[in-house]
Amino acid sequence: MYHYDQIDRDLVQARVDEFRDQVRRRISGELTEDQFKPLRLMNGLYLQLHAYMLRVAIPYGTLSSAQLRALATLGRDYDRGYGHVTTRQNMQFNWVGLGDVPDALQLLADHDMHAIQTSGNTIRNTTTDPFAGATDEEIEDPRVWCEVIRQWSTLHPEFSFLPRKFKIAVTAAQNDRAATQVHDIGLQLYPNEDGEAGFRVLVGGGLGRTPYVGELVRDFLPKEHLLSYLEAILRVYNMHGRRDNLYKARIKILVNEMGTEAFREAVEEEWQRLLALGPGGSVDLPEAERARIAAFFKGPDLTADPDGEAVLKEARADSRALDRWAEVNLHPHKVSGHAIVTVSLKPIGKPPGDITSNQMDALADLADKYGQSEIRTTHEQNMVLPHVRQADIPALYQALEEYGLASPNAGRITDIVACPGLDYCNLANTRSIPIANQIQERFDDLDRERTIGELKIKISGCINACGHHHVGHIGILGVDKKGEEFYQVTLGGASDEQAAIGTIVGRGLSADEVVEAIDRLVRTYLDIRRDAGERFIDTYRRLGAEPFKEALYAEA
Amino acid sequence: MLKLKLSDGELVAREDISSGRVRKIDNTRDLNKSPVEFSDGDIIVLDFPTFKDGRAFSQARALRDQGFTGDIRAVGGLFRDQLAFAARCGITSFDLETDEELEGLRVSVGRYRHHYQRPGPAASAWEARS
Repeated sequence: MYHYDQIDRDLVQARVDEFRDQVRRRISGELTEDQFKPLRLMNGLYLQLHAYMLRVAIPYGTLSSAQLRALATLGRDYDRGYGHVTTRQNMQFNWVGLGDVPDALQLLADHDMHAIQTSGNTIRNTTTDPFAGATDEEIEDPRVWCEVIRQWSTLHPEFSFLPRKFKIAVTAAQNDRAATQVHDIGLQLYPNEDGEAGFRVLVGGGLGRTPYVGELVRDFLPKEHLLSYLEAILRVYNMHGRRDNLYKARIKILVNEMGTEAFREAVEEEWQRLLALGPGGSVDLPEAERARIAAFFKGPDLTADPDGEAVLKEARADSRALDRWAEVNLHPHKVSGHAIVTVSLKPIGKPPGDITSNQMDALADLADKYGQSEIRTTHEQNMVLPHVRQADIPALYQALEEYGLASPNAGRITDIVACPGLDYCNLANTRSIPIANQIQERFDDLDRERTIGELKIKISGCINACGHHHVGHIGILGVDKKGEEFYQVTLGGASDEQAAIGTIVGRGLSADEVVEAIDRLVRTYLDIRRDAGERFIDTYRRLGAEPFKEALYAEA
Repeated sequence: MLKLKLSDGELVAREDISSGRVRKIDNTRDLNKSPVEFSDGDIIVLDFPTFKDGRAFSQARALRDQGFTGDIRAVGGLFRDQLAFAARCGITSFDLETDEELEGLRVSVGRYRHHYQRPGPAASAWEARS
């Protein structure tokens, strides 16, 4: 993974020093809250319902074990002993004292981390496939380009005061685990007919109150021109994106109002202008710098282990619990005898995505012992150990179990994505976490969960859609009606390569009705699915909303 | 109102003695699509109606890319931590609505020794690395 050099370190340190000074000016009263707000928002510090919330950037979801330990320390020393993995692969801390924030940022800086641009109308953390560098599905490691984008977008002088926030995701695998079609910019790295890798560029996807799937703006962008092309897109957006209405300020609205063709032409014009500046003025990264960054992502030196599979198979035959966990929490690795391990942060009855400092320390130790000291966060609010020998899986499983990190539910109905909701957030209309927990409890039966198979439930406590409900196979949106919490159900959403925005199927349900209604949806699915191999989303795509609509409101 | 200019990267107080033609440009104008005519003695004034409105950053870069070498002046609601961004986009003087002391602003402008991107008076990180 990438390691800071002196230049990276100086830059992040300058940022910490700057913010320490700003906090001092705020606490002394030299700055009012109004003046301080834009400054803290440049550093990921929000003022929430009960306290300040610090959102730490985890660039493209990659952490070393040492960095995960630093996050554990941050949670322990400056928060209440836990952190929360977000749907942008970041980690947020909900109870940080303002006076402690500079020290917390220093702790991050000492471990090559920061909270820059995790808020504000800036280019946010670039997200990617949590299996990057470990799956054999990809043409190359997309994190090379994520790091290129991280550097280019960090404190960009022209694009730090955009009309609205801006999110970029990159995938290099056909199987899109990065939700690239629902991002402001989605980049899909793939080989053309000559076997050269380039980017398919999608613009204007997004969730929030006006969800869109991104529009194809360029089918094949040579890799060496990535930054000039991004710069062209951002410049068109910065000049022409709407600033008169907060809710119409995202690039998706601009693309929609201009029309994709006109938008593409405007970008093309800017891009040609940038290219015409020639090597002396080019903003494209020189090959030498790309190669320097790429060298950090060569990945660990893994030795193929042809016997590993048999060892694991035998252990699974001996332990039903291990077998059930391995069934969904393991994915194939590019090196034989290895596996990608999903560490679920969705135990029944706990806030989705929360992890305690003790668990973080334990996971860091396990990553050192079994996983090449590397950990990933996922946009589905879980963690991943990307490089584990299959022969080590039984021991790893046992250790994860000991720390409450072995929930056998990756991708299943209890692996629910949910925003913090009204329990923390001052934008929320309704609670999200309790609804997630009630659904989990209803389906807390491994055999039944297994019968149901893959089913993604995503819950947002308000229209801002931080819980990505639009792309849940079943989405649940909390709305406030005259002081009462209601939940609107959407069906058929997906953020993978078949991305789709879920369809609203009718009136909102009260908090008491939701769980029973979801249960009826699931029972209906089990009745009408073609066979056990047809997932909920496949049945929905085959039959549409109608049979589910009946189920949803049947007894309500 | 604080009148300032950049002199060799340092922020200093400015006295208006220049007789250059002053041209104020609306911040909604896309200067690449609808360029303005300029000559080098001109002072081009760009507007930041609020600190949140970053359009003039793009305008400043467009002017520099088009070869304008005269003074580009930012007026309006920039706060102190934005001045370094402005400088890197090619802005060379400021009329700021602020009651801050010059010293604090000078510290902010010089805070970062390195930056990752190409535009700006100093070398980018990747140029410094090579």
